[in-house]
Order: sequence, then structure tokens, then C-alpha cells
Amino acid sequence: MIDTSATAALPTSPAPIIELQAVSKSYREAGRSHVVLDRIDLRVERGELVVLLGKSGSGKSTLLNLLAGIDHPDSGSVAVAGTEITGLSERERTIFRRRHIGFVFQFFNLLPTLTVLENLLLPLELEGRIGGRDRNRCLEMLAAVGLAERAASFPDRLSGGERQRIAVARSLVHQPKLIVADEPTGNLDVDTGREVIELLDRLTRQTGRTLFMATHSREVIGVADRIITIEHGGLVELERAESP
Amino acid sequence: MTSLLWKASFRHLLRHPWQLALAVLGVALGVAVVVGIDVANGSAQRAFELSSEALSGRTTHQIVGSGGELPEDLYRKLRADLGLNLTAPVVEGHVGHVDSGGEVLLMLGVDPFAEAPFRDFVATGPLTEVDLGRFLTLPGATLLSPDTAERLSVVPGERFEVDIGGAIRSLELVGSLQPSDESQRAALSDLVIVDIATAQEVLGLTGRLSRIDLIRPPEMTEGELTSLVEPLLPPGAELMAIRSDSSTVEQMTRAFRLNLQALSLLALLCGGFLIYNTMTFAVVQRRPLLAILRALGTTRRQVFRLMLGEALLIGIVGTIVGELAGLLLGQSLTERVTQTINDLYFVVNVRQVSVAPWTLVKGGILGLAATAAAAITPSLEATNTEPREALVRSELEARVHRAIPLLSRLGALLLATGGALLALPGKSLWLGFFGLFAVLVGFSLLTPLFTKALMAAAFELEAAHTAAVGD
Repeated sequence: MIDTSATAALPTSPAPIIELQAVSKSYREAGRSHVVLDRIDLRVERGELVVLLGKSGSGKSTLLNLLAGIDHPDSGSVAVAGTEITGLSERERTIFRRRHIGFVFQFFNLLPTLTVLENLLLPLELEGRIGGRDRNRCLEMLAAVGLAERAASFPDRLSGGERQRIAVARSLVHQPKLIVADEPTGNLDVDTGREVIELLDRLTRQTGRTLFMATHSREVIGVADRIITIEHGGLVELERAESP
Repeated sequence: MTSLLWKASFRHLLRHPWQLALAVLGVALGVAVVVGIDVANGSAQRAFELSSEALSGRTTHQIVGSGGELPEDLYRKLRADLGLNLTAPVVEGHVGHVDSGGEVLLMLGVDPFAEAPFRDFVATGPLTEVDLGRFLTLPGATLLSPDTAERLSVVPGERFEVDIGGAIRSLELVGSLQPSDESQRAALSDLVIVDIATAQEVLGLTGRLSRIDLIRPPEMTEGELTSLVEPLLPPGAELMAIRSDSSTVEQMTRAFRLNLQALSLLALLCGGFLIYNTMTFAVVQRRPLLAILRALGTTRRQVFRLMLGEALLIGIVGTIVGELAGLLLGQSLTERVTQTINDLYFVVNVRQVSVAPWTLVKGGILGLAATAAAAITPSLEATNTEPREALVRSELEARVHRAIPLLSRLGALLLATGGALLALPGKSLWLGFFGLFAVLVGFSLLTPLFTKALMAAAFELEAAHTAAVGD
């Protein structure tokens, strides 16, 4: 059983989990400035599952990087869980990310020289949590993703689907306030991708977390509370009926 | 720093044994050469000092003549005319032991009656045990240390032959020198003690002395001794305080030792390049991994410590391997260094390789410092990148490409400077080495440009080949 106590510990203030105000971001490419995000606003409430659609190069990953404090906007403010991360130093953003953000990447990005269990322990250890209770929590997470028996295996011994399930477990194990997933099914076949999405949906809802997922796969739309697309540097919210 | 980060790093090293071996080899090579050369230098120096100390005994001053010869009459004048009774005549020269294939021994001819205040291993040991009359009157009567006698396979009462500039002379072992401690034992290991008349006859120095040893009377000042003795000295002869003798030797061999030390530092520099390349490769290779760590919340400082710690681990292992290899190398180098000193400066025989603790400490410090210096840039490179950039390898490559013109210009400048310094006539040794280092670093900085050109040529070749055979 997954410990959901952290959900209860979350502040009950009405502050949204994500709040973007007039955020712009551009890159220089071949000597020319290319605007990726143009004064966008966004508000996501706690516990929502938001799917971000868009073509390759439309700015999905840029938006995720801004939400996670990996990248810095040219202008505007980004607030996550009530903290304006655009006002934090690089080190503060790193520590904020460590505590409050969980990542699921397209290419799994497990550490190849750590076992499955150690990969799950790493986010906790980075926070200085290395007690027996934390170890048990990791084992519970492994059981929750159906891979309890692979705790001692190294990632290169797992299939793509198994690796992504471990990555999902890792993103949740330190009880972050926001889970950011960048094309989590992009490197999986359709059936395995569906299984991973179901797992992400189940676990984030079970623990009351917010999931913000970028994808260009229409398969995942069914699980979303909200669907957003990026078009010409702006965000467009789609009604469920509008979604293809 | 978390234990899991260390564990991940350590396992990465173990999973790339060849890369690890190359890095360890880089450090070990540099440290081994530094330690080896230091051991060889130190052993030769120590052997000379031991030999000087043992042969000088309590001597405070020596009178030496030009060409290493003094008239025998001077000794009589010092004792009889000036009343300097604490004086001892010495005739010395090198002889080759015939049966051992020419092993070089130092023949020291002494006056047994004058020796007591100077060298107790001659006066109080053997000469109280052997028949003094026999030592003084038997042609070729000789004293050897027990070690030397054993090494030369000579027993008391047995004769053996020595070679002096092609002339073979026969000596007879009549007794043993008894060293009082280990350092004296080492110093006596190449010594053949004979009566002064025998030495003069064997070495062809009849009527002449190699030097006269003196002990300055306590009531006499340095200046008084000098003003008393100097008027008696023949042209070219001089009175020297015994310490200045070893400093002369040190000065004489300074350039030679400097050459060897610079050579060892050059080896360390090469080792540093190996470490730098290995660590840079490790960073580039693990860039996506470092990006994951950064994305998961590992701070720059933690990544820096991780990379530097990894390098220091390599440095420690490399330094230990290098120290051990250096000791072995030192043993083999000692023989060659000694041979060069014998050929160029003076005769010294090293029986024992001496390792000063400072040699090992210096090797350790150099190994670790070179590792840290070589690893700092790649470690900073690993940390000074945003996680977003770190996910894209091309960012690093683009940065290197942008730096190529500057690096190449700097390399060309260093190469030209180094070449000019090497071409300078009558330059100092230090300038020469600085020039050599500049050439080495200059070539290294030009490497990216050469690599880029080579890669471009390789791509063209491949394209031509593809066009020829079709897709």
C-alpha cells in the first residue's frame, strides 16, 4: 500500500500547484532569435492530470524545463506549489526540484550503475533520508509498479517497459508535489506505453499528486483532466470534445 | 555527498577497466619516474656523503694540491715546523679488482701511527689485531671490510690482483676492517686500506701525497689555522674546510641532477595530460548521466565533488602504484646514474639504494596534485552546465569548436616561443626546459585543430568511398 500521508501534509491553501504569468522564452538559432513561448499564462490546480500536446519542437520540453526550474524564462514568473522559482538562485532551484518535483523522462534515465532499489533510494538520499522507513517505502513503490522481485537488478537487465515503470516509481518515491513527464511513452510500444500511462494515472491519483505530461501521443488523452496544446508560442486549452 | 553517488561513480570506474587502467597508468607513470629519479639521485648522493664521512672521519680540514698531488715533505713541515700533530697523510686512487671483472675499489694509503684521531676503523680495529709489522712491511699488505672480502672471495692470507691503468699488481689480505655501524659498513664496502708507502708504490705516487687531513686544534681559530698553514703551501695547493668539499660536489652535479629532475617533471606532465584526457572523456561520456543527476536535484557542488573525488581515487591508486614502480625503477636507474656520475664527475659506488621519506612524500604530493590539477577543468565543465544543456552533447562539442581558433593561436604562440627559447645560443638550463615545456603544451593545444582537419579528411574519404560503391 502506498503511503499517502504526504497528501494530507500538503497545504490546503487555494494556491494552484502551477502558476505561470506572462512567461516568454526564446532561443538563438543560426544567429536568429526563435520565440518558443510568447507571454503564456497557465494555472493548474492540485491533483490535476494535465496533458500537453504539440508537435516536435513546439516548445513542450521547454515548458517542462521551466516548470521544473531546469531552465529560466526570458520574462514572466513561474510559481510551483506557491514558490516563485524564477526568483530562486540556481542552487535553490536545484534543491526545490529535488524536494518537490518528480521526473519521468522519455529515455527512462535510470542510473545504469545503481540497482533498481538504489535508483529509487537516490532521490531520498539526496534529501538526506536514508532510514529503514525510506527503504521500506521504496520496496512498497516497487511492489506498486509490479517489480518487487527486480529490486537487486541493474537497469540494463530490464525491458523498456520495466525501466519506465521503475522511472515512474522513482518520480513518486520522495512524495513530490508535482510530477513532470516528458514523452513517457515515446520510447515504448503501444501496449507497454498504455500500461505505463495507466500506472502513472493510478499512482498519481492514488497519492493525490499533480501530473503534467508532455506528449505527442493521442493515446494518453483519455486519462487527462485537461488537455493543452502549444501553438505558435501560445497555450490553447482544448475541450475534451475537441480532442482528436 | 551521498553514498549512492559514490557507489554509482565507483561502479562506473569498475565497468570501464581499460579506461580506469589508462588513467591509473598516467598517474603511475609520472610518479614512478619522479620517485625513481629521486631515489637514484638520492642514493648516489647518500653514497658519496657516507663515503666522504667515513673517509674523512673527524677531519676538519684538508690540504689538497693542484692535480690532486702534494709533495710528501709538506707533511713533515706541518708536524715538525708548525707543531700540527693532528695531521694525517693520505694517498688514494682507484684500482680495479681483476678477478671480479674490474670492480672499482678505492685504495686508501694511510699512516697507521697518525690515524688514531682521524679514522678509528683503521687505528683501533684491525691494527690492534693484526701484526702491525706485517702490515707495514709485507709488500701489498691490505685490509678489507668483511663484506668486501666476502664479495671479492678473498680470505686472510690470500693474495688478489688489482689493475691500475693496465698494470697488474698483487695485494695480500692481512686483516679486516671493523665498521662500527651500518652507514660505516656501506662506506667501507669499496675500500682497500694499505700502508701509505704501499699506496705510493702501487699508484705510482712515490714521494707524493693525495692530500693531508687536519683536525683544527680547539684553541686555534679558523683564521689562525689558515694564516699558519697557507705560507707553507706549494703553488696551486689549498686548505679547505671539509664541508666545502661536499658543497663543491653538490655544485658539480647540480646541472646533472636538475636535468634528471626536469625529465621526471616532464614525465609527470605527460601523466597529467593522460589524466586530463581520461577525466574529460569520462565527463563527456557521462554527460547524460550527470544531466539526470542534476535534474534529480544533485547540486553543482555535489557533481564537482563527485568528479574530483573520482579523479582523486584514481590519483591515490596511481600514486601508490607509481611509488612502488618508482622504487623498482630507482634501483635500476641508480646503476645508470652512478655510471654517469663516475664517467663525468667522480667515482662513487652505490651498494645500497637509499630511499628518503621525502622522496615518497614528494611523489605522493606530486601525483595527487597533478591529478587534482588535471581533473579540475573537466570537473568544472561537468558542473558549470545547466541540466538542459547537459542533455545535449552537441552543446559541449559546439563549445569546443568555438574554442578551436583561440586554442590554436595560443598553441602556435607557445610553439614559436618554445622553439625560439630552444634555439637561443648559450641559454640557461631553466630556459631550455621552459622552451621544451612550451613546445609540448603548444603541440597539445594544436591537437583539436589537427583532429578537426583529420576528421574532415576522413569524412571526405568516406563520402568518396560511399559514392564509389553506392549506398
